[in-house]
Amino acid sequence: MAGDAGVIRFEAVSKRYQTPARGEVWALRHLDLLCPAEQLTCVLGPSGCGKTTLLRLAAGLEPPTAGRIGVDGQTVTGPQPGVGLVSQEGALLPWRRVIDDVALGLEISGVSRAERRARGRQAIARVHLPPTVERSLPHELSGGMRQRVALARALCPGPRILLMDEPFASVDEPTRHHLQNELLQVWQTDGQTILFVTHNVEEAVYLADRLIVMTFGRTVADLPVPLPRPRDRLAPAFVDTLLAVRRTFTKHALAGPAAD
Amino acid sequence: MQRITLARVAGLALAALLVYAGCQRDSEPDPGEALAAGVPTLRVGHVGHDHHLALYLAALEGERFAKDFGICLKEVKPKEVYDLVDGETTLGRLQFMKVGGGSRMPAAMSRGEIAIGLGGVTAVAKFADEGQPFKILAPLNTDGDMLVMQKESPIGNWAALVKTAKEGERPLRIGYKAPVAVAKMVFERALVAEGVSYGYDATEAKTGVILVNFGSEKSPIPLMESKAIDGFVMNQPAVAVAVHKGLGKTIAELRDLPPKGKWVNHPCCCIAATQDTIAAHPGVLKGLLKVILLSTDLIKTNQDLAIDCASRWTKYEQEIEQASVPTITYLAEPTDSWVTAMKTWVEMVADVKLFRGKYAAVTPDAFVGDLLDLTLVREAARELREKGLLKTP
Amino acid sequence: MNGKRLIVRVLLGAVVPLAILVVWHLASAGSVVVPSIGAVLDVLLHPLREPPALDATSLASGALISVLRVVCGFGLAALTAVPIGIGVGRSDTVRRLLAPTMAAAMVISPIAWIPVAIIAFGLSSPATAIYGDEAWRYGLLDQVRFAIVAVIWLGAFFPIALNAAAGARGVRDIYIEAARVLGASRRQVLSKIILPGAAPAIVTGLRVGGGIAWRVIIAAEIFPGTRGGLGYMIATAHEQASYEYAFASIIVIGAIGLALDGALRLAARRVSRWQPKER
Repeated sequence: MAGDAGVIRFEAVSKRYQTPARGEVWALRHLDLLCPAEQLTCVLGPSGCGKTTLLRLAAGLEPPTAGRIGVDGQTVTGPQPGVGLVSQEGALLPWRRVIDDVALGLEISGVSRAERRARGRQAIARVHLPPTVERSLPHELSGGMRQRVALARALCPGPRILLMDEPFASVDEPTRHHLQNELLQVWQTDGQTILFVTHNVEEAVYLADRLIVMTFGRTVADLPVPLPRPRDRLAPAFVDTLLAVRRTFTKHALAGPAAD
Repeated sequence: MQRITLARVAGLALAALLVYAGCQRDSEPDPGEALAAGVPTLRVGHVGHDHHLALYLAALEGERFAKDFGICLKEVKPKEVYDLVDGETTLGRLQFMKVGGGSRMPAAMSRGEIAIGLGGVTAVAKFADEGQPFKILAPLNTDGDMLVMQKESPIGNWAALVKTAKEGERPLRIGYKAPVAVAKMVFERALVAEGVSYGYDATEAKTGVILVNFGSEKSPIPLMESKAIDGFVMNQPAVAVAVHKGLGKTIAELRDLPPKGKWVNHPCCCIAATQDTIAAHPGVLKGLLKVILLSTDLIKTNQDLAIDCASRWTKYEQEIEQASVPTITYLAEPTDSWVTAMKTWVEMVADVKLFRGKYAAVTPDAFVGDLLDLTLVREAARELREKGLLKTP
Repeated sequence: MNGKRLIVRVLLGAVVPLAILVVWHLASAGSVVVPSIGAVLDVLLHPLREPPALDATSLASGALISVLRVVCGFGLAALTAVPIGIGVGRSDTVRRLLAPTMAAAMVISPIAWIPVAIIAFGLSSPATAIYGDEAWRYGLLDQVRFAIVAVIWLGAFFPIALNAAAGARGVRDIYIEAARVLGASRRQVLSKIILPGAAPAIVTGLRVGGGIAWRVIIAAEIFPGTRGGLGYMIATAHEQASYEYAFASIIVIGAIGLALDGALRLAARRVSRWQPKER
C-alpha cells in the first residue's frame, strides 16, 4: 500500500471481547474508516461506543478479531514507529521527571542523552510549558499541565500519525480551549495525520477536517467540516454545523445498535 | 537521579570491599608449609572443652613433643591446622573443626565433613547402630561426671541425698543434660540400686527424685541460679564452671556411686573414624594415636602443664580447669578395665533400648568386637613402649 | 524545634532505656546469668580484643562475619526473589507454577530448615568449593558457610518475592501501553516501566526480608563447625557461662539491625518519592 503514507485505514474491522459479566461483547462491528494523510479526523461517539477500542487497535496494542488495519502504509501487527498516542489519563510515568518522561520515546530508540535532553526541551516549549517544569514530577503538576506533557511526549519523536483518546476530557473548559488551540498550532506546523476521539460535539466540530460519528461499534456518519480556520465558536457557520452534527449524533445514539 | 547513583556506587563499593576482604588469604603459604604430593589433609572434629585435652596439649606443645618424642603436631594455623610430623616425615595435615558435642560429631562424620572425630561414645555407637561404618579407635577419657547440689543445700554427700530423697517432704529436683547422657544414666541406676523412686514429672506422689532436662540451653547455670533445681548431674567442665561461679558444690563423683565399683572408668569420650579412613590412612591414624598416647601420658605426669594448656586452648579460666582436669581420667591406651566398662555401658543402654539397628539384640561382647578397632592404638602403644617413651603403665 | 521542646523530646525518649538500665543493674547484683553493666561495657569497649574467657574471635570480628553472612544471604535473596517475584506478578503461568509452593514455604520459620541445610551443605563454603583442602587459608571466605547463607536466603526470599510480585502486578497497564506505543521492547518495558513501578513495593519487601535475615543469623550461627559470628558467640558464652559476651553480642546485634533497617528505610523513602500522590 505504497501510496498510503500517513493514512489510517480500517477495513471491515471487528473486535470481540469476552467479559466475565456480560459474556461476549462486540466492541467494533465491520467497521470501515479512512483518515486521509495530514488531516485531522475526529471520531465522535457516546461512552461505550467503541472509540477507545478503535484507537487501541490503530496503536497496535491489540489485534482485531476480523478485518485489517493499515497505518502509514503498513498493516498493523503491533505498535509501530511513527505513531504517537495521547490517552485520556495522560499516562505520565509517575516516577520520572517531566524531561525524562517527554524524552521516553527517544530513550527507547537509543538516542543519546544530550540529544534527548535537547529535543525534550523543544517539545516542552512547543506545548507552551515553562522550562522550570522540566524537573517536576507528574504529581506536582495540574491536570492541564499533565496533558500538555503527555502531548509533548507523543510529539517528541516526531511521529507522522497522532492518535488521541479524549485527551482534554478531564480539564476545565478554558484550559480545554487553550489545549485545543495548541494542538492545532502544532498540527498546522507539522502536518501529522491526527485521529482524535471525543464525546464532546463542540470539540469535534472545532478541531475536525472530517467528523465521523460512531455508535455501537460502527461508523454511522461521515461528515466533512469545511469551515475555515481559525474557527470562531460564535460564528453562525460554526453554530449551524454544530447543530447539524448534534442532530445526527443524537439520532444515531438513540437509534440503538443496528442488526448485524 | 544523581543521589540514587551515588547510593548505587556506595553500595557497589561496599560490596566490592566485602568481597575483597572475604577473599583475603589470612595466612600466606610458607614454602616450608607446602605439602608434599600424596600427603593427605584430614579433618578432625572435636568439641572444644577439656575432655579432648590430649589433642589440645599436643597441639600447643609441638616443640616439646618434637624434642622429647620425635613425633609431634606442628602448628600451621593456630587452633585450626597442624601437620602431623614424625621425625622428618610429614604424615598428614590435620584440620581441626570444632563441631560440637553430642551427636554433632558423628553426624559430621557421616556427611563426610570430618574423617576423624573426638566425641562421646554414646553418639558414635548410635550412628554405628544405624549403619554408619564407624569404628572406635581408642578411648580419650573416662569419668569426670559429678553430682552437684545447690551451694546452701544441707545435703553434703550421697548418703544424705538418698536419705533426703526417701524421707523428705518433697521430691528432689535433679537436672540432666540429655536423655542418653552417661551421667544421667549412671545416676538413675544408682538411685535404683538404693531403692529410691524417681520420675520425670511431679505427679507421682511418692517420687524421691524428679529428673529435669536442661532443655535447649544445655547448661545447668540458669536453672541453678533460679533455684528451679536442687542439683544436677553432668560432665566436666560444666561442673567446675557452676562451682566456680558460686552456684553449687560437688557432693559426689558418679564413678563412686553404687553399685560400688560398677561405674569406675565409665566411658566418656573416644576417638572414632570411618572404615574408609582407617583403610586409606592407617599411617596417619597411627601417628595421631601415638601423639594422643604421649599427650595423655603427659597429662598424667605433668598436671600443671595439663591445666595450663586446657585453659589456654578452651579459654575456660585457670581456676575452672584446675577444678576440672584432676577429676577426669584421661585414658588413651585401652585397658581391660575400660573394655569391661564399655560392656557394662552396653548393658545399661540396652535397658533403655537405645539401639534399634544392628546392635539392637547384640551381646556386649559382640558389640565391643564390632564397634571397637583397637589394633592401631595397641600397635602405637607397643612401638612407643619399645622406645621407652610412655611413662605410665 | 526550639531548645526546650528538644530537651523534652530527648528526655522522653530516654526514659525507657534508663529504666531498663536500672532494672538491669538491680538484676545483676549477685547473679551469674545477668552480667554487670560494667562487665558488658568492658566487652563493648574492646571490640578488637580476643576474649580472654571465651573460645571465640573478637567481637568486631564476630560482627563482621555475621554481617558478611547476612549480606551474602540477603544479597542472594534479593537477586533471586526480585526477578522471580516479578515473573509471578506479571505471568499467570509462572504464578500458577510457583505461588502455591511459595505461599506454603513462607509460613515455615527459616530456623526449621537448619537441619536440612546442614544435611545439604554441611561445612562447605566458597573457600572449600574453590580451594578444597587449602580452604583454611581463606578464613573469612570460609566463614561464609553455604548452610548458613542458605537459611538466611530462605528467610529473606519470600517477603521480597511476594512484595515484588504485588508491586509488579500493580503497575498500571496504561504505563506499559504508553511505553509499547513508543516502541519499547519487552525487555525495555521490564526495565523502564515494571521495575521502577514496582520499586516501592520491592524496597518494602527488602526491608522485611532484611529484618528477617538479620534475626535469623543468631539461630543459624549455632551451627556445628563455625567458630565465628555473633550467634556463635552467644551460644559459646552460654556454654562457658561468660554471659557478658552474650549480652554484649545482643547489644551489637541490635545496633547493627537498627543500622540495616535505617539504611533500607532511607532507600524506601527515596524510591517512593513519587508515590503519595500517585493514587
